[in-house]
Amino acid sequence: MELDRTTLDRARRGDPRALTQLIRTHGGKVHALTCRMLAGRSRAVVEDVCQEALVKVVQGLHRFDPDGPARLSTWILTLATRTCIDHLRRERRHSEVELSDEGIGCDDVSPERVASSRELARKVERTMAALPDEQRVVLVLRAYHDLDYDEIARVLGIEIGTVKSRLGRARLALRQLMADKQGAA
Amino acid sequence: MTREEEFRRFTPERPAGARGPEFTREEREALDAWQVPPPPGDLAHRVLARAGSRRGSRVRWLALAAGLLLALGAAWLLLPRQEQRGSLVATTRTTTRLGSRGVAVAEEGASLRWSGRAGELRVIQSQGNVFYRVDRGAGPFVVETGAGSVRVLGTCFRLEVMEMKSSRAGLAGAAVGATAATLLLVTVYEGKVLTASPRGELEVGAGQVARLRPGEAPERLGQDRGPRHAGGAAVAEADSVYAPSTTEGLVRQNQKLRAEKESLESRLDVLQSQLQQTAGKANRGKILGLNQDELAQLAKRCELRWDMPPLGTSPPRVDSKAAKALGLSQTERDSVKRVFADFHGKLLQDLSRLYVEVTGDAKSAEHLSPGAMMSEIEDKSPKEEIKQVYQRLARERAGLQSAPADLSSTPAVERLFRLLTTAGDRVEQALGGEIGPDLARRYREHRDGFGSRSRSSLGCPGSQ
Repeated sequence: MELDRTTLDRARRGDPRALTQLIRTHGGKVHALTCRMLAGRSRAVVEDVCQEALVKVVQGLHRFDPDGPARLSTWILTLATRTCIDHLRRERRHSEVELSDEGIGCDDVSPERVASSRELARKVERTMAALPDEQRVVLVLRAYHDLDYDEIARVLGIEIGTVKSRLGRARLALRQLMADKQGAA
Repeated sequence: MTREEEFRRFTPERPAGARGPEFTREEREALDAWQVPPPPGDLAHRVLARAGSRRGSRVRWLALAAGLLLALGAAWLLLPRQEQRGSLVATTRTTTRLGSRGVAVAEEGASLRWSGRAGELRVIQSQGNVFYRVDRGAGPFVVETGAGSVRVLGTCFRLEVMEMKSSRAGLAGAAVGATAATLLLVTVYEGKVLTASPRGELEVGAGQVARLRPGEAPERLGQDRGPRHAGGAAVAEADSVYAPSTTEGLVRQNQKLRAEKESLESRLDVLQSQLQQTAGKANRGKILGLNQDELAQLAKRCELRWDMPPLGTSPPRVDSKAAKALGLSQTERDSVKRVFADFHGKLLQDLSRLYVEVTGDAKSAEHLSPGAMMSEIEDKSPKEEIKQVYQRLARERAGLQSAPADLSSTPAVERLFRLLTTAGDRVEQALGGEIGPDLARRYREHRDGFGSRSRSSLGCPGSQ
């Protein structure tokens, strides 16, 4: 869902109600993206990075060109992705980050889908958390946010071939997980 | 509209199976399983508040910077008019700053006072042994003693002012100073100084030693002292009293060793300072083994750090790397597993109770993950109250205040954090009962805490 042009223009001028509307429209996607890219981190870290990304969106919105080639949603996801990547880099630089070995951050799913998929969800999250950051980032953008290879390449500043190879390796990990699951069943 | 409904309305995810064509059915199944929770209901409010506060803080920073510039300007204008004064009688080895350019290390018994304006300083060393390090600067830096003065041009040197016996002073024939004649030894380690007495001047360079005595021109030791001193009984005696030997080689060796000692001590100071800085950095993320000073520092920042086994929907797993590194047997691993399972069950019970107390929703407590319950309890507590809790607990840990006698009357969020922040200790204690205290401690220390490490970051009450 994209924001209508009038609301977007008001948001770009800093209108609080329009900005609230913009965050309600795109905040969920940014939050989901952050949760998945920072798989395994605590909820506090995820929410902090999510807010950080949205603050950048709010503060940089006047630079977004509504008539340009990029969709608003892609522009927002680009900012959010880079914020997550910055955070992951910071983590690599500093060891005192809050880490949660079992991902208490984003495994608290809604009550209605607790039972059967919880185990698989945990395994998937663990598998994703164990993936190298650059592979997980590509997989999340492709699988959950509808970005095509070209868009992912532009967001991450890498070649399309690199996007494909990273995605291929991430999918391999997923397939391995499912094969193990079937083997165990 | 509930938070979940709002989330679904505004952020519809792609329906299962609609992902890129490259994903197989199994991959899609896995991807679909990995759902994430909705964002907080007040996300927009939080983001806009944070964006607003950044704008505000930017303005504050600009104002602060402008104020700072003004203050610096004023200080620059006022500095030359402000006289710097001080005095020191060292009862033990004491380091003190001398104005903006100098540092003095006064040995026990040394006495000095100083005064001057920015860039220039006049020091009067009446007695004792003082090492000086003086940076280069615009104005003169002069040390005066009873035996003469030393003008510095950016250097390290030591002045030893010693009282001469009155008979010697009489023999020297020029008692300088109120009560006793003095002798001054100048040892220069770096740079050069200009020594001066009423009888003359002498430039002393690095590695050289000079002596100033009342009524005589400064002289360089370890050099050809020439006929001026030859035959002088007082000088000869002074030499025998104040120099370690009459042999010039020994004098040189003595001065060299002193210079080396000073150099090593300076180096030691630098290394100790670097060590403290490094330790400070290393301690920034430290959870275990914090000493009293570190706990007091944390309390000052209202910061809490704690560890516990990872708290998910199922009991924590045994850290296989730690178990392997510590050589735990299968029985010991099973014990760890059992302790973790007990901890998990008990903590879930306590957490559920708190959750129901705060929300009144007993049904959800049966299904929600620990993380969700904790977040809900925190969300229902004002941020300022959480900061107060952090402050209280941090102060209690540092021994600055005691815990309330009746914890049941404290806010739910306080009981939550008491529960969480003591979990690591409780688990270690229980583990100690199973595999021994030493092994339990080592298991916990293996990764500086049991798996999940946390640090509060809200700051003190009233802070932004």
